[in-house]
Amino acid sequence: MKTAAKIFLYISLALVAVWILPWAWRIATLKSYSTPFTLYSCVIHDFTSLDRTDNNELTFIDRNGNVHSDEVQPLFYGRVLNNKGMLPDTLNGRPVTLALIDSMNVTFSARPSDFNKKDIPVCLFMESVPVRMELQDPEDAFVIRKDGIVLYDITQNTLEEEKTKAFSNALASEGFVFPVVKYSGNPSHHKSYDEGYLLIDSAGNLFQMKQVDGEPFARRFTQADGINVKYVCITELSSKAILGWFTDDSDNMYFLHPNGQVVRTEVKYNPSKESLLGVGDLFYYTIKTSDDDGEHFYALDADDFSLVDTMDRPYEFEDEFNLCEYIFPCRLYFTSSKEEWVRPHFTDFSWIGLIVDLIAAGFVIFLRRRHKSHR
Amino acid sequence: MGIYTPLGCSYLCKTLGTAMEPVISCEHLTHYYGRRKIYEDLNFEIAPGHIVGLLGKNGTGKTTTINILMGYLTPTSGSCRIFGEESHCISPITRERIALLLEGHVQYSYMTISQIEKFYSSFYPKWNREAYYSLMDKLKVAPGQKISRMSNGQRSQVSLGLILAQNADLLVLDDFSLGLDPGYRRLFCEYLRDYVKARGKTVFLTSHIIQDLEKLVDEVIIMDYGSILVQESAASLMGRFPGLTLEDIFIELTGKY
Amino acid sequence: MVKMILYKEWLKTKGFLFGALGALALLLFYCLLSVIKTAQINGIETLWELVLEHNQVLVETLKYFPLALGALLAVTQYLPEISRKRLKLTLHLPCSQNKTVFVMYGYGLIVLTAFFALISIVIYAVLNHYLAAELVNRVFATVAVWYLAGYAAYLSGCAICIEPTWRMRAVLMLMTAALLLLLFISGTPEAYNRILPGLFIYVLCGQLLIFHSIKRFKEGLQD
Repeated sequence: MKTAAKIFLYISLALVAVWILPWAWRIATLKSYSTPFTLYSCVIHDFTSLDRTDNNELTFIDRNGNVHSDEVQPLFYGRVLNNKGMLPDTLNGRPVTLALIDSMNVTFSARPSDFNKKDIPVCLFMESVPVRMELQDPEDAFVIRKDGIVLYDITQNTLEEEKTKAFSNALASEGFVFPVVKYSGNPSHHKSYDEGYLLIDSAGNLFQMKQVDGEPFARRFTQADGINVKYVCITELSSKAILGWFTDDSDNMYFLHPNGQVVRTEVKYNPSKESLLGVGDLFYYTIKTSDDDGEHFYALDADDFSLVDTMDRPYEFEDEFNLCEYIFPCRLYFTSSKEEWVRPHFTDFSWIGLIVDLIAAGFVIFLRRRHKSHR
Repeated sequence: MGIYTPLGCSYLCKTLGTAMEPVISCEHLTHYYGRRKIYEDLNFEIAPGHIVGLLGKNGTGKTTTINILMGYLTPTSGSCRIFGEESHCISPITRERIALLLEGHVQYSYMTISQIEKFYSSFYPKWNREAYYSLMDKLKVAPGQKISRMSNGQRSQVSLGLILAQNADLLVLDDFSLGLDPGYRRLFCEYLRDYVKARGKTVFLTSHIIQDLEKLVDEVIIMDYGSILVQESAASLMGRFPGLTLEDIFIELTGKY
Repeated sequence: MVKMILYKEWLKTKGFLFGALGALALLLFYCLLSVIKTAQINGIETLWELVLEHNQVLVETLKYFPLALGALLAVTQYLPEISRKRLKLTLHLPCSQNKTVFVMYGYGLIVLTAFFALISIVIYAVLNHYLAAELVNRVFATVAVWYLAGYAAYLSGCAICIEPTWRMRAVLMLMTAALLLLLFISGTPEAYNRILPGLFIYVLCGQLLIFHSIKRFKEGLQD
């Protein structure tokens, strides 16, 4: 018991040391780092980044270092240009109006923590075609169970057996193989329309399910059959250009048209490890994925999502002195911005730290033995 | 008969009386608190059936000795045995034979006298309820009164009652007179002596109030800083210093060296 | 003998336990009344939205109660034992010292478990009326971490109280603070699901520290 207690104590102290002390060092030496906002320009057909010039002026700079005014991004700054009376009538041979620009400008994003978390097997389920024009707060929810889904009237917390049967049958008739493995939906009335949920079944196939006038609507994205769908995300863009996107197990990114068409893009994206930002307009979609090494930009044609251009921007971190790598063999942390889980991660292994600790431990043991023998 | 030599020398003591195995024996006991030496190479034995008083000035190691004996302190070196068992791992069966009084008559002060009797009686098969309540009847406290609400003297009576009721073979009392007025000290000594002599118990006690012990103890061990000055029967010691009380003898010995 | 040790612990703690029960009753009343009133005034669907869209568990009022209960129970049980070193009386009792110590803190663990069971029953009785079983499970998976903090605070509190030197007490307090920091580092429901079993085992291993402190007490270590 005595030995076990000592081992427990020493291990606990060691874990506390490699957790708290490196964390304190990182907090003390934290420096801000930012990257410029980057969009593909429909005017110069190149990536432009909002950055500071040598004169400390904030402006758009292309990859060749040329400086441009806000007019290089007329769709992003459409409202500003319109107010100044500088909005062009046509762009790339297409007539443009502010209303058109507003309707086609879209953004969507995702973070790893959106996917690295506990999937709650309960989903609020709203009526996609409400009696009044505006969407209402959901009054139903479906619960994912091993053998199917169960619908609840959440205003009463009661099971809706008929709806359960109806929706389950609607999915089953499309070939859905229960249980639901992954899902994506946005049950908020703060949007212009609702497309229900995108669901992945246990066979890796992709489906859509929504509630239309209380009745089930279910369809299978047959063009996604055979693709091992790994992650899915509904977007419900105001332009209705994309219903959502999904990735496969090789990190290929696909877009879903509202008409059911599936378009494979050239974007490589792992939702569990990278952040995503998509900014779309009338002509191009700029997709940015970020990981620990840097940012990767893809410019896609807005009509067919074919790849137009790419750009990589690795992070330029200076080699900072890290005291902890000379003191500790590793660093322990429990939380990460990439996930909602609390769990131990060991990283930043250092042989120098290990050797220093072993020498220090040996020295302490030697001193204690000498102290005891003197007594 | 014990032999004493001037301060600073260790010496070997022989037990008085019978050739029975000693109840307590300490061999080559040495203890330091940090760098401060309490004593070095201490040796003594206590035979069964004796009341032995461990006397010494403050800081000479009386409570240290009790703590080592009871297994609450690991000596720097040396060993102690009680009833033949190493003091740091006394078995429960042996602990049943030892009644312990902590300095200051410390007890479970959140209990009442009936609660504490109920508690202790379940641990000691030879528990003598009458011995306890005969003392408690004299206390004149309310039945639900907690020990924490009693005076020092009343608490000492409770402690004494518990000690006596345990019917233990060895009584270890650490500074039993601390905080007591002369009346309670006399009551304690009289009760204890009558009880012990009637039943042939062994008592090992410490005190810094010497005058109470003259009529109580059979044998004295007088400690000074670092070693034992004297270990012999009280009668023999007082015989060597005629006309002096035990207290005078103590001052003579500890003051001189 | 086990019965009498439990009796002793009961005598020491009964006042505190009645007080804790009263405090718990008030907390539960306030917490669950809020839930009931929200359901009555805003609709049951509001509770579903709070749980699903806002990552709430509806019983956040109780978050630190288990921790406070565990820590205060440890102090209530062991402060009288270490005051004037009364623990010597307990360790001198004629039964196995390890068993005595085990029964003493076992009493505390049982008391904590009883409180947590009571909290769970009351929460379940109310929430089950308004939420699907899966959402109630989500609440309990989150509350389980708070219970763990209660056990951790209790076992650490026992070890800290018994420990005779302030230097080692400081070390134990540091360890306890780190463990409690870990248990409350995330407020996201079910964030600890993956490490809950491991954490549970680790917290229970904290019993070793109690025996470690007892051993140091018996060695007579001091500052």
